[in-house]
Amino acid sequence: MTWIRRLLNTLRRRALDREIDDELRFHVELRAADLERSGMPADAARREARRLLGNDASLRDRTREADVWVRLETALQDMRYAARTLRRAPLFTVASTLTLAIGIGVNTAMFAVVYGVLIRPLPYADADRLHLLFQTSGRAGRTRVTPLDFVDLQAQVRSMRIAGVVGNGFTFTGQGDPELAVGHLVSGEFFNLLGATPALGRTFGAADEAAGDNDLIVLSHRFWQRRFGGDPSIVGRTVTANN
Amino acid sequence: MSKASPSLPYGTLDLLVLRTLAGGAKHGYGILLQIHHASNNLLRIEEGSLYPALHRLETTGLLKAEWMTSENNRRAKYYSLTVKGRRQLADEERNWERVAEGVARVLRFV
Repeated sequence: MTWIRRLLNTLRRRALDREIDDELRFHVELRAADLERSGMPADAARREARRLLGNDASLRDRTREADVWVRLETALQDMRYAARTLRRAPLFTVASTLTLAIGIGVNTAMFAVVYGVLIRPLPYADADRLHLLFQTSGRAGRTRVTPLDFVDLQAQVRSMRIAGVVGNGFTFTGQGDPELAVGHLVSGEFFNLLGATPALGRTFGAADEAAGDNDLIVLSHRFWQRRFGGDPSIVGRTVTANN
Repeated sequence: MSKASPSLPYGTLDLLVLRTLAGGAKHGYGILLQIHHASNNLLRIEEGSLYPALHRLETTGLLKAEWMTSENNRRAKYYSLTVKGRRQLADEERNWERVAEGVARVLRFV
């Protein structure tokens, strides 16, 4: 416990010491004045006043310790009392512990979701400047941008870079069992715009699109691991997939 | 100076301090003088033990302290009773009377 005491002392020492010193000095002055009034010479009165009060340093220590120790002891007493009370009421202890545990758990889960969905920035270049574009039309309200409008937008809008994404499913056949995989059809600008680089091989870009290369696939890591066993020679190979 | 001052039983200093402050806020030296005068100089408080006691009582919430300007125009720390202190004083006074009476009866019992 000595270290706690030392720590607390250090933290509060200066302010407390000044206060205690002021208080004791005031005492000595009054006492000396009283002694002088009763006929003692000023010098002797001062010395006697100090003597009566006792050793300055040790008195200051004891006074300060009265402060610090009491605080610490009160805290310890409170803790011991709490522990005793809890031990005496095991049902209450279990209930409140469960309440706390569940409460903390639910909050943590909730925060994890909120953080993932709302707070954490998207792992893309300039994530704060990414927008999803929709179009509206009188009757239909908000709809997705049609492919033709997308082509026009991409050709004519100069204030932003535009890439197209359409959700899709692909049926992988050939090697192993046929499998329906979730995927997206994306335009040539897509990977460039998001600043995404692949772990292996390359993504595709506007040049591929211009060359009319429409059969390029970028695999997700998980799909690569599952369907192709993480085989690095997959890069550049032809697979069979249709949509 | 302290030729005949009897030593105070343990814990009595707190009671005397609380009682003295029941009449209003005082600084340490004022408390000391009042105890001396009120006891007709029978009781002499160890000056060295007064301030630790005051700080202890302050930290336990029986006293509150305030820096104010004294009669001689100096900053001094004035102590006064809190509500808790007032209650404690009543308790300790009752307790003291019973103890004193008990001790006196035992002393008279031959």
